[in-house]
Amino acid sequence: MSALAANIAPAPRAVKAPSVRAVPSAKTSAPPRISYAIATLVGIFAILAGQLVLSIALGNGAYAIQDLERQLAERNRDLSIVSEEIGQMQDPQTLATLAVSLGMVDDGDPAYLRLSDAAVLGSGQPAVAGSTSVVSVVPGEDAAAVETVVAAMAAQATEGESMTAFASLTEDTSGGDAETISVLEGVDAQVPVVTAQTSVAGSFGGDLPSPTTH
Amino acid sequence: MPTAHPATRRTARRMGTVSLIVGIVVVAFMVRLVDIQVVRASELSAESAERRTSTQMLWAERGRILDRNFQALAENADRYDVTASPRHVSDFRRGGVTVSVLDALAEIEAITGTPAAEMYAAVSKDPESDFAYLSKDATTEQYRQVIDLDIPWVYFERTADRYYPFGSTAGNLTGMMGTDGPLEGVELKWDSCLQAEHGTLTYQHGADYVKLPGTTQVSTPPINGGDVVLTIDSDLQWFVLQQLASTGQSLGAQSGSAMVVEVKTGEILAAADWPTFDPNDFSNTPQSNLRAATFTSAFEPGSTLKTITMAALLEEGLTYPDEQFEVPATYAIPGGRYIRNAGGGAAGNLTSTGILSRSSNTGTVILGERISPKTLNKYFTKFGFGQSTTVDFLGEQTGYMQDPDTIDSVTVHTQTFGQGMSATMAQMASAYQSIANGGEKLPLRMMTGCSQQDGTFDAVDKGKPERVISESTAKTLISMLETVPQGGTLQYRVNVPGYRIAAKTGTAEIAENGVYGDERMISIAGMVPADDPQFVVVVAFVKPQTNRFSYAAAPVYRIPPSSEQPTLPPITW
Repeated sequence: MSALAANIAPAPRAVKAPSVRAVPSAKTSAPPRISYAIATLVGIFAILAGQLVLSIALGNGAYAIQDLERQLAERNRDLSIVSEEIGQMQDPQTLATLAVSLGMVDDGDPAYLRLSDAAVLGSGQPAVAGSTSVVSVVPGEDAAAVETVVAAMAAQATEGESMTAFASLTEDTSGGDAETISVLEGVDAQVPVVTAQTSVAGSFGGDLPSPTTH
Repeated sequence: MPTAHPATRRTARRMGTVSLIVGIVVVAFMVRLVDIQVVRASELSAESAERRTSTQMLWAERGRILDRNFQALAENADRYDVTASPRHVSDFRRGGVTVSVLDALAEIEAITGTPAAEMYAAVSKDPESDFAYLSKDATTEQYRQVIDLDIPWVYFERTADRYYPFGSTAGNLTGMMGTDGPLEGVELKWDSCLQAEHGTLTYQHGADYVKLPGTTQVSTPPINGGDVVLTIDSDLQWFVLQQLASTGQSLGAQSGSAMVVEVKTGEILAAADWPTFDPNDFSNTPQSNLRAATFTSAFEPGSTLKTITMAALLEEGLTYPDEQFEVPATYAIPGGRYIRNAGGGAAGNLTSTGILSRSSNTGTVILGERISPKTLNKYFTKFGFGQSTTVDFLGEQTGYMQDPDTIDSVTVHTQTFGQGMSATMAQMASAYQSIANGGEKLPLRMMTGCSQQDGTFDAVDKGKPERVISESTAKTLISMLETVPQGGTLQYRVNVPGYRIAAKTGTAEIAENGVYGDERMISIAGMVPADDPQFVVVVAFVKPQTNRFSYAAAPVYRIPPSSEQPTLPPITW
């Protein structure tokens, strides 16, 4: 730039410029250096390669997303199975049938102690074993259906098995590549898994808890 | 200029020709360009987008129906329709073994239970078609098992199924969903809150149908339905239903209904009907069971209405609890007709309290002559009879009252003890709530509001309390009602140790084909505890066979027992 500027700079005023002067011979430009060409080509290829890598990464991401979406759908299915089971078990009718099958009875004649004079209000008679039964409220209802649910739950309770749906949560349903599985292990870890408990009786009647206090 | 050399001219001609050709080609391309870019632009881009673009439905969930403790009474379950492409149905290889079509269908039958023959008929009906249903409403577990079969020509369609975890417990209130939408109850009544709108997602895909990054676009966002929150306590609802069923069966009754209302809020805690139905499977249920009778059937209430007549008389100062009467066993009314009592105890030397407590028809008619039909009608209306309750349940009845200006000479007397007019259980519960709440009627409510998915809660307007009778009249009336379990018609029948109960019985004759027959509707309406009423309970059985007197067990509430014995007005003198 500076060279060019010097070339076209007017001659100093002090020297009288000749009216006619030879056109300065065109400065022969130096042949383009090979390094420029290489740099340009490398640049272009670098851009192309970068684009390729980026698009491969994006493409991979698309597959990862699809895989995760599929796994999300599977988890939602797990959720729907489990919430259906929970709903069924929360049904007061099922709960009552379960309670009765365990031998619980409803005391329809409760008694109270009046604190002021220690009087017993009510008969205070204990409920009779086997006096409670759950009545069907729908005519022609298939009582066997409720019994089946109750029997299945009772079996699970006694055998200490986890519910089938909970158990299935521990299975890997993803089938994705190693990377996505490792991502999902964290998610799996947060899903409560009901482990088999053969007996909880041991936790009752033992030593009192002794928390450390400061 | 010298004359052009022939060679130069040739060159010029060639140049001209080439230029012309180039020009024509350029113009042709220009035309094509304009055609593609401008004239058919939208058509072509649509076609291209269509080839690369797929639309996916974004599921929106219908809202749930929740009870007062947010327990779901109705929620959604995923179900799957197993479909097939008959064109492609053929034997296939799986794990090196050839599986025949019939074997594959038999495997599906083992999972879904749909007969293989039925499925075979479906796929062979039109072998050239691309779509046929094999099995409908498979559960998620079944769906997974069918997927594991790895049959190449089997496809699935996700469907939303409505699921009622508590089954028959609140089926009368929730109603149910049919294939085309809500059919009954809350599902239909508050569909505007519950309904969901599915959204759509468009995206461009590659050859293997994987979404291209950056091309997904939610064209319609899915809108989940809101949750309807009811005032119902499902545990209590279940308990009441159990009591109705066991008592109803032992009475040999045709049906029974009960309603429990919280006095201080006007909220309905339980509204049970027996026999009822399971909304999960109601295909075999008779139409008569598919209802919430507490709202939708109006009946002649009978003696439980005497309380309302007494409230009007007390409020107007036309009688007082201790006023003494010599009540006759029969009483002649104009037109040569006679009013009789159900039993001997309802006549003799009774006080006003005794007339109410022993449920004397003759005594009530004698008292009722003191009040003009117009005034009595005014009180009936203020208590909520003859109009829909504020719940405005689907198909709710208003009941029937005769116009006081044109009322006939018999009904003017019989309506004082609840014959010749009709009311629903909900109206009766609302009227007793007014008395229990110190004479102030709170609008009856069954829905707390709609809990929208965006976190907002649209509460249902609680309405304004309305004074029906004065507080002192209400107090007096409650103490009069308290004599019913102590010495009146309910003596020793409704006896919960430690609780003071104020209640009124009713044995209404059921009119069939225009005449009153042997059939009865027995009912109890009351409140506990009488010293500070918390709950109003209304129970009724239609056509009991083994016992036609008006006692039915009132459900027990776990509330602190009252400590003081009440001083009640005398029944006799």
